[in-house]
Amino acid sequence: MAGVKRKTNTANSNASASHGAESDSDETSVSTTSYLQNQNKEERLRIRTGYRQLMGTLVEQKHDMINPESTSLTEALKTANDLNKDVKMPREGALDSATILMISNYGRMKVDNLKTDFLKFEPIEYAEKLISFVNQGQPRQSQDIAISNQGWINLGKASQKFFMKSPAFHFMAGSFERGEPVKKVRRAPDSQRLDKENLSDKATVPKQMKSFDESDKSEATTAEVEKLLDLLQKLYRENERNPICYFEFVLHPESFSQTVENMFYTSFLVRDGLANIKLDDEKLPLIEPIQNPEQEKVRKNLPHKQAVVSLSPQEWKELVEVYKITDPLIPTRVCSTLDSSATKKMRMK
Amino acid sequence: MPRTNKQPDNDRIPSSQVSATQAEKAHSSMDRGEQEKKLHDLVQFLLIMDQKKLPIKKLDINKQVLKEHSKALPVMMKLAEEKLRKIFGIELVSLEDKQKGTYILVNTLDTDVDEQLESDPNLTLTPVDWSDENHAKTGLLMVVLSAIFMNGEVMVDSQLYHMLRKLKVDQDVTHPVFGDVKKQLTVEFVRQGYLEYTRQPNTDPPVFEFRWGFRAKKEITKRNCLDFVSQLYEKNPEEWVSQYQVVVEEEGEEEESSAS
Repeated sequence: MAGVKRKTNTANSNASASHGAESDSDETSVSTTSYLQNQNKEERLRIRTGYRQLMGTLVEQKHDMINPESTSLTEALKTANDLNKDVKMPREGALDSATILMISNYGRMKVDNLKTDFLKFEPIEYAEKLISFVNQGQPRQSQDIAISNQGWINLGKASQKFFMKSPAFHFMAGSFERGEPVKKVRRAPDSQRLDKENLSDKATVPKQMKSFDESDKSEATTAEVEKLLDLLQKLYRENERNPICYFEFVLHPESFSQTVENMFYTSFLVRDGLANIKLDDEKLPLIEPIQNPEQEKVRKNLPHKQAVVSLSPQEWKELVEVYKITDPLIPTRVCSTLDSSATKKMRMK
Repeated sequence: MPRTNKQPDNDRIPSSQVSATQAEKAHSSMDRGEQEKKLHDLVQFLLIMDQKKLPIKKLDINKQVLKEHSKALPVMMKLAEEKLRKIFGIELVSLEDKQKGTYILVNTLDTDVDEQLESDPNLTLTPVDWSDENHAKTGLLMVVLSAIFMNGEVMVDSQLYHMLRKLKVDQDVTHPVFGDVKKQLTVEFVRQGYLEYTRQPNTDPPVFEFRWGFRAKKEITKRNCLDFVSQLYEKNPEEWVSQYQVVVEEEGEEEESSAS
């Protein structure tokens, strides 16, 4: 019976093409105790010697083994397989596995050697080549910096020509800085309304004292216009109730801006129906105050007309010369904002 | 073509649905002066929007430039395309697929001055001026795009990061030039269209892949990348067998399309 079993086991190990899996079966099968004892000591020695020789050959001829051209590794594998057919005991099995381990390592090396015949892209290798390329033979600065900032810039400069990038559009002389978005001052209209409302009611403190300037200006206009009206009426009386030449009235010999302001305030008088501008026989403008307030009603019935009056600095100079104006009829106003140098001179006189 | 489609609200039709004849009608409804002005505004708009290299949306074009004449967009874009090409040497590219309804601008003129300078060093040529920051980013882009191509036109994110780490460009470390490296690669370059960043399906933790984006395909050739890498390794381009094959195929396609 034992004999039969032996044969079966050997048949099994012969059938398996791959090595290794079956050696365990020697140990695990229960009824092989007698089987184990039966293997010939001489045979076992032969097997062990065979493996040791094979391993010796592998070490000696390593170079030949891993050469892709040579077939010696395949032959070594064949030898190991042949020896394995007779392996029954663990000791020989262990030698067998050590041999196969060596052969498989050689196999890997053989494959690696195959690579030198065609190029395979390795990212790490690529990175290293890049570093030495960018640094162009200069020794590497430190372990932390592979490619310096300037290195990246230089690499980029060299690469730009590969990219068909459309040039970014920039204005040649630059464009203006956008700056902070201007916060709209909404307080001015509030203050105006509030001031009117609070005139009678002194208990409520007016809120917006900050925008005093804005309201001041509009009140200043009204004040100026009234002053102007008084002046016009005075001049009218002095002129024996004859209309005054408009240019003589508004022109300021020293200051263009004062002239313009005069024209500005005069226009309010006309708008409010307190003054009248008409043309004389020579088509020159005259101005006269309107005496009767009742005429307001008449004014409202009259169709509204508009006129645009313009004056350039050149024209202003010519007019001053022609009319030989030496002193302004309307007194010079002191401005709170920046003066023209002309008015500054005036004030200093 | 008979107008059988019902248009409930003329203003809200996306211009992509405007037919050719509708567009022409809308265009001719503007007087000559207005046509000219809108066209010039459009060209200028496209050039300025191109500064950041982000794709330009049709929606923005309608909102900022064409406004009430949105329907004329197809006609106007054709005219603008011609102007850009003839005057600036710039190609207007309409994007498809996921980026449909957007445009990018690509240069058609040669910006390589090195050869000319070599032959005559006294030449004062002014090639296109880019900032240092732009140069550095272009350098990084070149490295990344070449690596992806050489690796078989796709690279897994871990592979790419591993390689960049060798260059001391680490996704976990704020780089002195590039800042947040991961953001630069996965957000900025992707938005601009240089890289494509897709997730591999059924992976956990998620694995991503990098490929060339639509802009990269338009702006740079694979041959240039292969030449660049070959020069680096001091080898001939032909030695990279599979990559060289891709290059040859690409050039075959280009010849076909330019011949047609």
